[in-house]
Amino acid sequence: MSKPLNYLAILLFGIIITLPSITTLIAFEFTTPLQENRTKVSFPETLECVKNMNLDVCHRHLNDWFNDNYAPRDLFIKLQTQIDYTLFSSSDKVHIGDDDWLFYRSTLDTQKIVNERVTDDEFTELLTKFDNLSKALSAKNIRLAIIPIPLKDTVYPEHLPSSVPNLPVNSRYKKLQKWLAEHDTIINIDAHEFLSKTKEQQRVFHKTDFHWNDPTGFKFAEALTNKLWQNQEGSLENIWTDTLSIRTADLSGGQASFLPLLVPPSEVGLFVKMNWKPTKGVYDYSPAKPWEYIYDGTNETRAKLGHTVVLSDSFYDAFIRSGFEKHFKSIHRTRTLSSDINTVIANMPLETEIVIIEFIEVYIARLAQNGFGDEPTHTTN
Amino acid sequence: MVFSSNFFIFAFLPLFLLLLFLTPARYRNTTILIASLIFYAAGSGQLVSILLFSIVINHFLGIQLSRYSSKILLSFGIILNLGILGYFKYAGFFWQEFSAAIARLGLSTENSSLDIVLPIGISFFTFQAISYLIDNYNGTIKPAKSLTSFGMYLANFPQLIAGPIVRYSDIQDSIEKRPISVDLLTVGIYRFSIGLGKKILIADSMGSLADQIFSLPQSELTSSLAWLGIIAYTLQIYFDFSGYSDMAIGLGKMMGFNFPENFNQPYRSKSITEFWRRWHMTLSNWFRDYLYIPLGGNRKGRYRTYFNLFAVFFFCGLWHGAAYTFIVWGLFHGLLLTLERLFLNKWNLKPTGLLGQVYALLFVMIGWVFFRSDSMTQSLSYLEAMFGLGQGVNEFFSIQYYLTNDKLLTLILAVVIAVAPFERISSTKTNNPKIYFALVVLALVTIELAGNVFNPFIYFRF
Repeated sequence: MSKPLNYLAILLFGIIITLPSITTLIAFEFTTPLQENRTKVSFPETLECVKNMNLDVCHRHLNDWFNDNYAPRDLFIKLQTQIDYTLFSSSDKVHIGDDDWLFYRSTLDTQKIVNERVTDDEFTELLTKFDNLSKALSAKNIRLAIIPIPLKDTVYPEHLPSSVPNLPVNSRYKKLQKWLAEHDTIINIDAHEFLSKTKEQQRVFHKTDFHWNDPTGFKFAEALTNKLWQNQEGSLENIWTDTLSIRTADLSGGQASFLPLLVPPSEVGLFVKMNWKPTKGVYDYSPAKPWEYIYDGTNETRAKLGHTVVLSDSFYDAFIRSGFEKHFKSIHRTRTLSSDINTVIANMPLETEIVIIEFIEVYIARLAQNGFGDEPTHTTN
Repeated sequence: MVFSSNFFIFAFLPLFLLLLFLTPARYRNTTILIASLIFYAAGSGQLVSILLFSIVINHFLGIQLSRYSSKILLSFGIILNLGILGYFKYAGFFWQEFSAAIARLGLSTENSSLDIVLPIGISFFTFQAISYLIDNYNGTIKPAKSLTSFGMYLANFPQLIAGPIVRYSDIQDSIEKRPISVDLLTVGIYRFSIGLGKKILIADSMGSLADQIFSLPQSELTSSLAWLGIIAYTLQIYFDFSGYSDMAIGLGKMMGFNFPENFNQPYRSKSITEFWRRWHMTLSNWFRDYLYIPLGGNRKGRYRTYFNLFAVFFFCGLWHGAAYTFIVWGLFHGLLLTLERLFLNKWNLKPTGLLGQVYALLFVMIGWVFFRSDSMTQSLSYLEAMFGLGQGVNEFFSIQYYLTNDKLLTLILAVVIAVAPFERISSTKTNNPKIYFALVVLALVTIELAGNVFNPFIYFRF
């Protein structure tokens, strides 16, 4: 090879290996930063490294900082994702279904598998615990609602790519749902059946987000509210009077941020247009643990349902945005992420009349394998 | 620090090359030595003192051995080096086994495990040091002229952590004076980029496939998945290891050194004997010259030859790691080599042609099962699954799940590159524009590396 071509190759090599550091030094921004929902690693305390002579620790920290902060990082990530998406229709963070329906790999490849690896003995024990819980609460005139919610892949299997794991049709979720339906002492709505019917009228999950959309949350909240009312009053009357009005807006959901293409995946999302009067109830967002907030509906004339404790996940947030909580005298809410069932039971107020436990289907493994948490030392406070 | 990290490629390497080329020729060894010690300390912290001790003591012993050719001094040097290696690498393993044996007798030991941190690359630099002492004793090399020169040789960062095992005789002519030419630099860039591509684009991809399959519970490991897993691992270990060797050789060339080749398309071998002439060549040559031949090689009769083969491969297995799986892997290869020798001696039979290639590859893959497994139990159950004797049923994960389009393409490419009879990728000449292909590979690697550090947090708070 001629010398000039050699020189050119050396120059190109030099550019490739120096460009990231130089552009980091001058803080050049190649692209809009990626959303990663975490704090990036900060620059290490140089003096501390030198003082303690911990060059390996210092290097580890420096390496982590560099990996998180070198200037072309986000552009390179987008390019890498774009190449995988364009050439192979694949991503190591999400499964890409037809029409760009996205599904978290961590959910399908790991959590749902863990769910199915729950042994029969563990599962039976879980059912016994639910049964015992409902009996214990019933003895105190407290009604229990258990609402397991199926995920997007269960409701929309037709949009899954062929590369997803084989999950059994009669999954742990389905078995739990069947058991709940057979137990009159527990209030329950078959969410899979409900969503399957609703999806004939409208899309029930976002394509680019993990969650169901707000109109679906609205409809489910309506059904649950009416069911609780009917159960409370022993009648067939409905309590929910608000009507659903849907608006659309461009949406690039949480799952889209796991597929950071040069042009982020987006969809026309369905949202609820608020056409009801806001509640006159009061929210306390700094209550004692384990509660995330306490809602007091004393001043709200629509509050006809009893004092309620809610253990739920982010799917319940769609209920809140639908005006669900205005129907209750009070709500103590905590999340499945931070609390367990026994903690909720141990800390629920004396006047509690309803306990709602809502969780997504992959939570079953945690319940079956870790139980309901530490046994309560007292039942009320 | 590893070559395949963003920090090395974008910060350490450019800074080092800049300093190296700005340094006057007579001080370049000092620059390389300092950079190598920083490189080592960045990965091993204060264990760099072991490396420094090894440099100082072996430099001193080398000079003395060249002067006095003393067997006692040589024995002391070898025992000292092996003692350090033995303590750091094997003491924990042997102590654990000893404790277990004691426990089986109903006695108990207070500390059933020793917390000894293994200095990175100790197996490599110990073997280099031993060869240096022996060669000085035999008078086949002259000792290094200065502590800096010897330190630069022993700690030379491109080959310090994963080889190739460079003997002093390989590079002694270029230690004090070596040109750094544009041609050599270009070849170095080519080898480094290709090596990085082998590691990041092929080995890591195959590695994730192998890791997933090897971590499956026994009840879900079907025969087809077990085969896919071991094929993926077979490709991973070759492209990972040979990729590192390519990077080391490339970096060496950028500094003006010609390090020995370490791989020569080993999966093209038609026998296990040939495999060991193509796989990790610097290690097998080391064992041949410093263990097999001193034990008598094949000059002391048939049975002694077989014993020597077993002994060499027992130590070869142990060198790779302190675990029964590595020992069994070594002995398995020793057995195959002995059988090949037996068939050749007795019936003049040796594997050839396509059949030989299939045989060699099959048994190499069986050997890799031991090498990859965490325990003997896992090895045996994995082998059972491979040969249809396991209980695994295809419950969740099918071949289709693992072999996505990108993985399938990578696997096919890897097989082609590993076994196709074209001029091997480790060619040292770049008399055509393939350097530009290597630069495209390097660009792809930089993009792929970024993908590896994309680590968003799922924020649905369930």
